[in-house]
Amino acid sequence: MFKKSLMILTAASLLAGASTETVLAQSNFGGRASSYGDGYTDGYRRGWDDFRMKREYSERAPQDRNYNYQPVPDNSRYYGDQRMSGDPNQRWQQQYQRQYTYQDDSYYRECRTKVDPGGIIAGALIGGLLGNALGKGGGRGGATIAGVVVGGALGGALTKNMDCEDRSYAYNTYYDGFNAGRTGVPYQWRNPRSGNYGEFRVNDYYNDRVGFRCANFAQEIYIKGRPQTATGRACQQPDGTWAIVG
Amino acid sequence: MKAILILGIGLALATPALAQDASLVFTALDANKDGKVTQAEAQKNAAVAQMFAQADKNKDGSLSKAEFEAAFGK
Repeated sequence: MFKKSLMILTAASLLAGASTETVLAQSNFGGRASSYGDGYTDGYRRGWDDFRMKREYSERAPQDRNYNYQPVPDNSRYYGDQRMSGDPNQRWQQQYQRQYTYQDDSYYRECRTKVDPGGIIAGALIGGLLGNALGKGGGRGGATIAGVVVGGALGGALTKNMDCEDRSYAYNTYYDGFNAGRTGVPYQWRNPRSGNYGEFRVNDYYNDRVGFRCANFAQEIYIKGRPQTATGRACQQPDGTWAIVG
Repeated sequence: MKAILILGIGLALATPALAQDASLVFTALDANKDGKVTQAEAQKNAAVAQMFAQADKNKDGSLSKAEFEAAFGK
């Protein structure tokens, strides 16, 4: 009788323990814990395992002491709205030092008077080239479509070894890629005169710590048959223009 | 007096540069080089196409350079 009761009690404890573990490991504490990524639940689970195995944290193998904590990319919400409020221009300055204009753009600087088979200038795909139009909400299909600024050393890496014609084609992929809001979709270009070609894609979008929309991108181009890759980060400036920032 | 002079020089230098950008786009859109941008030519630029009617002040169905710069120049 006593043995049977003990067995039932033990079984019940084990079941309760297992279900509690599951519930607690899956609990998201009102949606916040899930934002810590798998590291939080993983850490909790390991702690629970320690408890069940009567093991101290320090007894774990060193590689098991890592809780794999990964802060979410958009962690600004945990600071309230303080970092995301206020003048967007000021926030941009603080985060990225300066705003980029069409005058920083390498195509504008080097190619604006040359043959433009991709229609970059006609389409004003370079951000701010028709400032008033953007300010009044111009865009494709009624939506505001922001131009791009490929400037500075960071932008230079993206268009390295491309001539003006190549860039004229490639800019269309940047413009479409950033504005489409779709990740992993390849946007391709080919210069029929030179045979050079390439592909651009946005790998992911996220909001930076002060609330600007950003995108991690990758490009693979073939210039005279030689592959060349570039990756980087662009963010949308207060005027909506995409600028290469990293 | 000195400040006004500096401001004046600054504006004189800045204005042509800004107008030049709208002019650059105008020239690129004016495919047949007749000095006007028609509605058909404007289709290459989403913003211009969308605001064509507003920019065409004299309602002649095309944008002169002056109309274009008034609408799209800074």
